[in-house]
Amino acid sequence: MTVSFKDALKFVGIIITVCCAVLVCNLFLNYAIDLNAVAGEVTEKQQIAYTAMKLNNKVVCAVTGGCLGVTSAVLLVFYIGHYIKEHSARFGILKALGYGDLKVAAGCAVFGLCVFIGAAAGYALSWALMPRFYAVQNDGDALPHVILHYHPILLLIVILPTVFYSVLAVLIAYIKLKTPALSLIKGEERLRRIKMKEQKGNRNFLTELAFCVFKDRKMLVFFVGFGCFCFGSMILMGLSMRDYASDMMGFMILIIGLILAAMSLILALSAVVGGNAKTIAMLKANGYSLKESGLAVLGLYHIPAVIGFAIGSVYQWGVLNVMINIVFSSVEGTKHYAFDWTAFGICLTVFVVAYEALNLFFVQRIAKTPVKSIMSE
Amino acid sequence: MIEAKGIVKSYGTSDNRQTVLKGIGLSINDGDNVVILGASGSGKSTLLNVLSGLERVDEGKIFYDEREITRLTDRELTAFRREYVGFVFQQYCLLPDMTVDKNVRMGADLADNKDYKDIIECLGLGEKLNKYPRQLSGGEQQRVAVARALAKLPKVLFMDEPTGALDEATGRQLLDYVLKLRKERGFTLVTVTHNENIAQTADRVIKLNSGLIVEDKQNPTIKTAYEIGW
Repeated sequence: MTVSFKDALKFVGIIITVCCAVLVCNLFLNYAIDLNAVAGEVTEKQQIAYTAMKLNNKVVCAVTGGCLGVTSAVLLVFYIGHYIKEHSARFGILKALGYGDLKVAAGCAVFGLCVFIGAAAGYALSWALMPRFYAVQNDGDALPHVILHYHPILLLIVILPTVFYSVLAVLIAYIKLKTPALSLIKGEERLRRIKMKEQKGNRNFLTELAFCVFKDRKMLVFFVGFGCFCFGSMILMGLSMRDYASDMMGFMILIIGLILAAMSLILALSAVVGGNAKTIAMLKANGYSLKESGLAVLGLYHIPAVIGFAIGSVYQWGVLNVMINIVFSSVEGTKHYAFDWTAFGICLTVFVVAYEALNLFFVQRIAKTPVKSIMSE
Repeated sequence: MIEAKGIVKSYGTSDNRQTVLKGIGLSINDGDNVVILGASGSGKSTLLNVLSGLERVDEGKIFYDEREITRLTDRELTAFRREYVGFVFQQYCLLPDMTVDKNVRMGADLADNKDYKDIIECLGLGEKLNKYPRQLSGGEQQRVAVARALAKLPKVLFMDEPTGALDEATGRQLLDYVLKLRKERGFTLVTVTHNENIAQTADRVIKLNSGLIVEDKQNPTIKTAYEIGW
């Protein structure tokens, strides 16, 4: 087998993201089915709230399932690409020995297992939370009492992603392995991608290095931006919606935002530091200080981080504005939504502290990169 | 002057520990051209790594003039390498996504050396300034590595098997460049090699076997890179 189960378990990012997606989707879909069953009991007074709740369920499932599903797929593409790059010699040798691309790529189906683990954990967790979730929704007279039922059809949200992502993993690996065996053995795949542009002569070495590191892996720039976008949008949303939804829903959005942000940022920054280990070692060997190395390798990633956070903040304002001031405007007693500057202040402070702490953590990882890794070519 | 006293260095875990350097003592004068000669596994590269401050010793002391580098913190050791030493490795270790100019500036910027292009010219790479490493031959890449090391104006240049990956003609040419530059600039040169012929170009030859110095002698007839066998 080209990929071991242990390798797949290292894809914690996908496991957690899938877990969150299935947790939320199962919770809301199960409730949506049970809510449909009580349609006949809805009074005239409850009609607006009932319709709003049905719409709310659809939006939460579509946004969470869609957003987290796409994130998992992007993570999978990135992880598999990264895995093949890291183990290119192993794949190259197998190809050189005569194994076909598809046979080598088939080993990557094992990555579907981490999707299964995440989905199963999310499913189990959602059932642990289900009674409490129903109790919160049943609180008050706005809606008829909804009774919790088990719906086996919803097991599909565990089975389908597992099958889909296993096939996707094999497909991605198959495409990535369409490289000559010798190039894989020599690890030339990355070098071929480097565009040989003339570098500006007036830039000093560290500035040029910072630009090279930044431009070399655009996917990581996306992940940093995306992580900060999640932080800005979901945490701010979780804090801002305390007057419009239950505490539980706000807390859930906040936690999912936090997990997604942490996953994306840790994944991206660790890949930046890991992928530049030899450069870092060379910098250290030559006597560049930790501060200089840290700035050269991680410094420019502050730009997508700030942009991601800013877009996320505006995005959450847009979503809540549309949802509350337009979609739910007809629901009696709904307060007008305005941008929550207090929540923004808290979120911004936490973001700055958390990002810088993470940055510092990875600078320390740079400090621990052994100088001897230069010699490991 | 570099002085090493009782250097011991081991690798591995406690139940599978291998002592690579078993109490090495030596001194190298400023401006010397020293070759450390030994077979594979004799500990020569490890000795170069500890002498240059790339690795720490388990026991013993290393002095640069009066300064004991074995007692320095990681930060101080980095600052020491910045000020004192340059490296050339067998596998060149160039940054693949940077041009020759930027690779050499890696060293030059550390010493605020604005004249680094002179070194590039001296090494016959003037035309290759905007080329990327993979557009160069092995010999040219190694010359870039030498230029990078010298551009930081080191007091000591350490070379680990600098011609190990080169063919004879290219190897001789590289060695010739380095020896000429050393005469011109007067830095101390410490070269690690298994090639006995290269040892004939040095002022002094230190032979290493199984982690111990077995011979340390001055070379009475120093030859140029083109006079030695290969």
